[in-house]
Amino acid sequence: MAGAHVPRLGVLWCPHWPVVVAGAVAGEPVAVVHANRVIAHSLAAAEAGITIGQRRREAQACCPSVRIEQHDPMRDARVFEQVVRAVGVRVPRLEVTEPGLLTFVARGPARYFGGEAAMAEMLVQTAADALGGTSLSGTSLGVGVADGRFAAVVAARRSSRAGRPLVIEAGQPATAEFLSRLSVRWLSVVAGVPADVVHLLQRLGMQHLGAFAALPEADVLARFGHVGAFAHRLAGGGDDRLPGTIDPPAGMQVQQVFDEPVHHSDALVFVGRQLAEQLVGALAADGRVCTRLLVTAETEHGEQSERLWYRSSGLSAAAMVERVRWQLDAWAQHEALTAGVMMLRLDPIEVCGDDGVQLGLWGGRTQADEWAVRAVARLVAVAGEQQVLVPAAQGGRQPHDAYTWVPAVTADLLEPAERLAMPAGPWPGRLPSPSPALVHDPAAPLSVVDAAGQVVRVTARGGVSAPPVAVAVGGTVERVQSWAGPWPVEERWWDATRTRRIARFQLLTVSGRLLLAVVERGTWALAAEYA
Amino acid sequence: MARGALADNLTALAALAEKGVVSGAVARERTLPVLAPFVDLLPHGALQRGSVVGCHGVAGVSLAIALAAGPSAEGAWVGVAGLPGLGVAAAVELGVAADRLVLVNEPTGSGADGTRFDDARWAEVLAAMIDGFDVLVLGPGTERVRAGTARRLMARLQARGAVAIVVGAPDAGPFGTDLTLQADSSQWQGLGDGHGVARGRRSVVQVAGRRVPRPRRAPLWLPGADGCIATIEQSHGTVVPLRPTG
Repeated sequence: MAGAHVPRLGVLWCPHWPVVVAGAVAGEPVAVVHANRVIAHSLAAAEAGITIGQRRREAQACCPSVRIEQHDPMRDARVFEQVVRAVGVRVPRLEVTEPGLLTFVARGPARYFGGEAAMAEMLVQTAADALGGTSLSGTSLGVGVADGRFAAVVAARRSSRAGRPLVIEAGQPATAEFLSRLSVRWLSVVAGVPADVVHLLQRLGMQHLGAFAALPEADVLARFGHVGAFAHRLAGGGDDRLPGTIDPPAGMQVQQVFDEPVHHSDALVFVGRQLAEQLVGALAADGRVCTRLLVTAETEHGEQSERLWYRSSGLSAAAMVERVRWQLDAWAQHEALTAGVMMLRLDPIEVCGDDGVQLGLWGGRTQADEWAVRAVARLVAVAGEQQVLVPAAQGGRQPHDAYTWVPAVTADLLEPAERLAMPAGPWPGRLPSPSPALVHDPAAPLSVVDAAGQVVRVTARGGVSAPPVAVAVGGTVERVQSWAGPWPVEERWWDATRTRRIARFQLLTVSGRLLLAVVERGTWALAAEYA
Repeated sequence: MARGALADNLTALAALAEKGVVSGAVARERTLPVLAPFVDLLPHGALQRGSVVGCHGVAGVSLAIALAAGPSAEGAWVGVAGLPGLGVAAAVELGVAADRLVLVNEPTGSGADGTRFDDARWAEVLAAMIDGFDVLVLGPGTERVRAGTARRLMARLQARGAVAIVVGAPDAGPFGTDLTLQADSSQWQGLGDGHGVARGRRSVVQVAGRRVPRPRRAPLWLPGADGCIATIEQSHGTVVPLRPTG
């Protein structure tokens, strides 16, 4: 990697952007949640103990007065557009990494504005002016200039805290020097290195990036794999592009020229989806993924919108479509377009190998997961919130106790670990596997009789009044071939109101149905069936 | 002359080989993997994307869940409709990933639960499920879907490449099945007359369908003592060799 050219980048960072867009005023605790997790919070909320990644309920427990806002990337992108446009007048080829974060190549503008420091000052002023009209003040914009994306973003974030632009000198030693005193947590905050790797580093005693960077590269690779090697390179101020990043071969771009001008952004986004899937498919055939994408749209009268998008972990088709939509919506909103759109083009500017590192950074999400999550949202809209359910573990002795069904809207579909963690047992008296495939909740009515036609009773000593001979369920009467039980369970005997004393039986009928029946206070019920 | 013919032959051969490779790759992409006990039972040893599979008999529900477990273990999402009260514990034991399992319950039609789904609502629900999940398990609740609606849904299923597993009585539902699995002659083991506990079910699964010229059958543990599905090894009686007499 030595001698690899690390581009000199400038970064403009608007801190807590989702919160700012949510209209937080100074001193108000606001948290923005996505999929039930806090993804951004205001300063007042941080003082109350709210942290990124917390569950919504925990955040509310920390600070009951907190205002919870749902994350709306569309709105974030739309509001950010005014900053992008203002800065775009001064700096060419802006790249919107995410709403709130702009990246650009520093060399040209720095020369034009007479030095990097002067350029940074000018940018802060420009962006602040663009935001000035709205009530988005109270946060300090950050501009950082450094070698490589990682150092530049870190510098921008630090500059936002310091209240003045931060320019890190060129060259790998200066970059490493700047990073060496910073916490290793930056690796997961900025570069998407998995949090467990960073925790491991901290537990191993490496609190600062400098300590991590001082380790021999080969040892890091042996111990932490490719993710660790990547993080190590970042910490040392090295090339922070993913391994295997290349400029794509010419002719990879996909475009659609329309016969009739298109006026509806929905229709354009639909075409964008087709193009994105085509492009992602073509890249995937080479085992590559696009990290930097140029989206161009042109109207019949020659008006053009061109924007560069970046995502370190690679742009999936869905992510591309999202960015196309952001760009088109902002374009239509901020410019009085005089004609319909004639051409839409997606051009991959930078691609890199799609390897295991990607999956790690992505959190193991697959296309199937994205489709399924979208389908669940659609199902909830069609069938109703209470009708679409996902399993959750709760633990217990009865067949319907071990798992319960909870509405999908209340569950985090992509982070199911917590929901499905079985509460620590033991559950004495739990029936051994196999478990019944059909669970009746509430239990269905059932009647069990002995040879004399009397209802079978369970005695106080845990015996039966007579062997069960026939069972009536759902209007049919069947003979019992064999049976087992009763297995008594006494639950919560310490609580007079919630105590339950039940006995369970397995009844096998002559037709081959195996039923799990329960008796409570002399009443039989069908709890489950081994269908 | 001979040289030209040879070149022609070679070209044809190359084209054939290419075709073979392509169709092989396509076939792999057009299938979903199944658990080991099903590999010898199903045509191509896998579930064909876009197909409808019927699971009937006493062990029909377990059979359907076990079929869905193969794709589920490989990352597919399983959507269940019309089968209220599916036992999650049993599904997990059979190999379904609980984090990729979604159940759509029809309102019971009583109280504040809302009205039962009509045909149009079922069509919307099932269409959304086809779009989002690779495997659908459809219970008796979906039997009220009209034949015309079912045809449209099956066309969508084929276009999207999902698999529908239908549970219930044979020919009861509106979905025409490409393949039927019948689980019969179930024998529960471990259960006595007032003692023991059910430890497993021996069941003979028979596979029939358009692509299956001769019905195939196999004895399976459905489920076995640990809740998993497993093939029962055929035990042949001890063979006593003939020996010459006299």
